[in-house]
Amino acid sequence: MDWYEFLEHVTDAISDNSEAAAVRRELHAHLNLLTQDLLQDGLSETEASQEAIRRMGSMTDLQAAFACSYGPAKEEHMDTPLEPERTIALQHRLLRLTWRSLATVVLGIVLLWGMAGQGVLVGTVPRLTQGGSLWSVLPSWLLIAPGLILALEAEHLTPRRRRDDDGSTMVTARQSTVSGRILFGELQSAGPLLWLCIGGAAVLSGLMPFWIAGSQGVPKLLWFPATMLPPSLLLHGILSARLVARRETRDWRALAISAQSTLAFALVNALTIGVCTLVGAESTLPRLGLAADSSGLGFYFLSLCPLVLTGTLLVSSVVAEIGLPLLPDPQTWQQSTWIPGRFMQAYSQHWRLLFSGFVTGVWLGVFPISIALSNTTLGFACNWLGGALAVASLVFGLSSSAIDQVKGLPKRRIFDVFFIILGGNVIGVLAGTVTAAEQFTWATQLDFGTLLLSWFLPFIALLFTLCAVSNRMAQRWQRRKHRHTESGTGKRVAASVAP
Amino acid sequence: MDPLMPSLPTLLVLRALEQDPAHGYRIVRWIDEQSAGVLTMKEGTLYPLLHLLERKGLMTGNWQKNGTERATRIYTLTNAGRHHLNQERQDWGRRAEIVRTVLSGEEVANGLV
Repeated sequence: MDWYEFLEHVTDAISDNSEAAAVRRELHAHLNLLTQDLLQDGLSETEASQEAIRRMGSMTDLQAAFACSYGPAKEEHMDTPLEPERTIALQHRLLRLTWRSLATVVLGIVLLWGMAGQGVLVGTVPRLTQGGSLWSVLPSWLLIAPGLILALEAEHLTPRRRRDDDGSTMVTARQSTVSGRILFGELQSAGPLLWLCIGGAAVLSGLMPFWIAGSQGVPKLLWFPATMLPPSLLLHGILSARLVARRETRDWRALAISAQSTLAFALVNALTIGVCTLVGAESTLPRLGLAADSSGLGFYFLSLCPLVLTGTLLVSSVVAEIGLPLLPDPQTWQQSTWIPGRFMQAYSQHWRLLFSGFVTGVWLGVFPISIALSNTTLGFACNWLGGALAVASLVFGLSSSAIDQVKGLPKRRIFDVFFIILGGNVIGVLAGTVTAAEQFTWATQLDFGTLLLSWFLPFIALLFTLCAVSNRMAQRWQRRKHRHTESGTGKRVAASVAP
Repeated sequence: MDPLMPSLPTLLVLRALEQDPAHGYRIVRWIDEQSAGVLTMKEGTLYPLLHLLERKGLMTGNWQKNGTERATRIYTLTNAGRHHLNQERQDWGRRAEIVRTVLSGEEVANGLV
């Protein structure tokens, strides 16, 4: 067995990734010293390497020992001095609305208002596909810009991995994203960033249905990722903030952060909806072929969805905090002989997250098609409510106890979660496509762009796959480089250890 | 801590660091050599214990690199650690004597435990 795999297994059960990395690094140094002694005793390099692992003892025993010592329930953890960033979190910096963030949100609203007043946002300028001007395309790019800015800003939240002599410097995006575990390097900027995410997400979510009306084909594809990104970052920020507060305080602060965030989201979203409705309603509805009847009202339900979502999010946060069991006990999965049940058995600790991910994946695959086919108020409302519940389910899964368990997952299993979501999404897309086949016409609302929207999540999953593969390849390459470099000096390094 | 007896691993680790700072591997080797191979400290016991004692302020750990060697985490006993070691050593000696007395069937003097 490779040292790398050995150390990964031994530290699998340590819930805190940074502690696990520290233990891996220390054990790796231990293995190195042991190997050097064994080499001096006359063993070959391969024999010394294997003997060193053998002398470390049973992998299971080691894993249990470290899990027991570094587990979250260990009381000694409560006595440890707080890390600086967590101390800052306790000082409510995260809850502070700074002038900078307030100015950013207000400026964004004013800007959007002004653009809406010029008819740019809601498609009053003739569309490019109808021989109109480029203005109908530009808003798509304008939406992508804040999305990218938010993404870049969010990078400041992710840990800057310190380069050391033992391991890779790659940042595993999947870890920080899926588990919500972020070590705030600059938590002072986290407050404004969180508010920025909230403001951006709220504005863009409110604009989304209007954009559907104002664009077609490629522009629609462009704005959709930009629209999806801010809410993702919003959830990311909320979850991270909650995690930091929850781990250290275990009291109302976590809920307070979540509540403030969601309420702020709802407020800005409502403002955006109001502005766009007042400015662009008259020109938008006819463009969709909708009159100001029930269909038109249904269209506006699209904009109101985020309000429903935030409400659900808030409820789910409360539920997560008080820990109500909404789904069957994991034990029932373990006793199952049904194949999916046995599958879940392997991930029984993480059943809630997986279930939530699956539901969300299905819904995200279905919703663009179902929205396109729904032309009644009830249809729109049902679609969005279902979507809100699905996303809230994911949030619930992430933000409840599952989030603590996920951190103990080996990296490869964390990555498996994405395949679960992806699988659910593909099922949803196929179901929606087959169901809608008879009504499918390229010229109607259910156009090619709409179908492609359904594949947005698989696209993201593909990105994560590429990220994971490249990360893994980089680690292997670095380990080979270590071996190659140090074999020339007579030193033995069998594995690099990611810190 | 065990109310009956002081923790032997803790005592050994603190003793190993009493003279000089050392990394985990050297601590293991020191215990092995000093006990002529009778006492063996497993890594699964040692490293959680080291980190625990560090959290308690009995020792400090720092990554150090000597020459061309790879970096190792060197543990140094703090003043609190030395004080704790002296206390543990006295307790151990006192209770070990009592245990020996109990096992041999002699009468234990009052107030010793």
